[in-house]
Amino acid sequence: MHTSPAPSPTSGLSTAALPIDLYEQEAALLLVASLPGVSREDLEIQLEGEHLSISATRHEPAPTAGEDVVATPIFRELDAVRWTRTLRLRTPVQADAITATLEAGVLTVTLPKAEQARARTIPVT
Amino acid sequence: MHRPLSPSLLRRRDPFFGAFDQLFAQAAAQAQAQAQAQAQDPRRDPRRELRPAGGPRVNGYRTDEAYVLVVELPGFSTEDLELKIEDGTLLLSGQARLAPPDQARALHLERPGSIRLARRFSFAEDADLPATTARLKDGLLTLTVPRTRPAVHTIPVQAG
Repeated sequence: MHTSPAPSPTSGLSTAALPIDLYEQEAALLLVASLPGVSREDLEIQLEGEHLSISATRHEPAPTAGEDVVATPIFRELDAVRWTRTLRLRTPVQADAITATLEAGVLTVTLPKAEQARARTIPVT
Repeated sequence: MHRPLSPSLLRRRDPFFGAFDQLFAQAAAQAQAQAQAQAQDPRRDPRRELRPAGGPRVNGYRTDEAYVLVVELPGFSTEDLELKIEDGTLLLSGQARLAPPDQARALHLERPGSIRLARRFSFAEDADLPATTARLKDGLLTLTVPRTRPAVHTIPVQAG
């Protein structure tokens, strides 16, 4: 049987713009992005001023990782990729209260709005 | 979103293991009915309808022990997927609707509103399809189809 050495995890690393969804709740902005196969260590989220940037690396999901198995690729539609995206937030957010979850390959970043950006209801007395 | 090599092309290159896309007539009919229902849904963001529906991408590998398929399925749960063996092929189908967060107003949408999947994979004769295992983790589905070892017969050589 023909076998070839497993490609190194970073071979053919291409870069791509990360598609995102942005939502607004009463007290927060929510950013949602699909990052299938990305582990926490390969994900970086930064807020610099009003610019939020996300970069994530997905290694080729070959069945060789950490195992002594030679896998011959038969066909390959998904490859090693580095997703990046920077966006400007028009709404001021609390930088120290930003949280992020990565679940089932979906990233959700919660950006609590700064006090002055929240809508207020003024009670009439 | 480019597909560097079409599975059918590789199938020619590697006659022992072939995989090909097939949208089943049933799934297509369902999709059409769903699209119509969604078009009538006023809550749906019209911008989403304009986006191309890039289907989930798949990698196929062969090891000494198994055939391995890796499918990109962000946001899918195990209940969203169906795996069937039919006519010596493996059918993988499913759909996940990417629900917006609670009480949220969409400001900007680039991801598809839902992901639909219907693919059929054919294998070489040494694939033990009933022994297939499937694991969903971090938005990647890994299907492992064990390969059976060919039976070895030793034929005694008689003298005379």
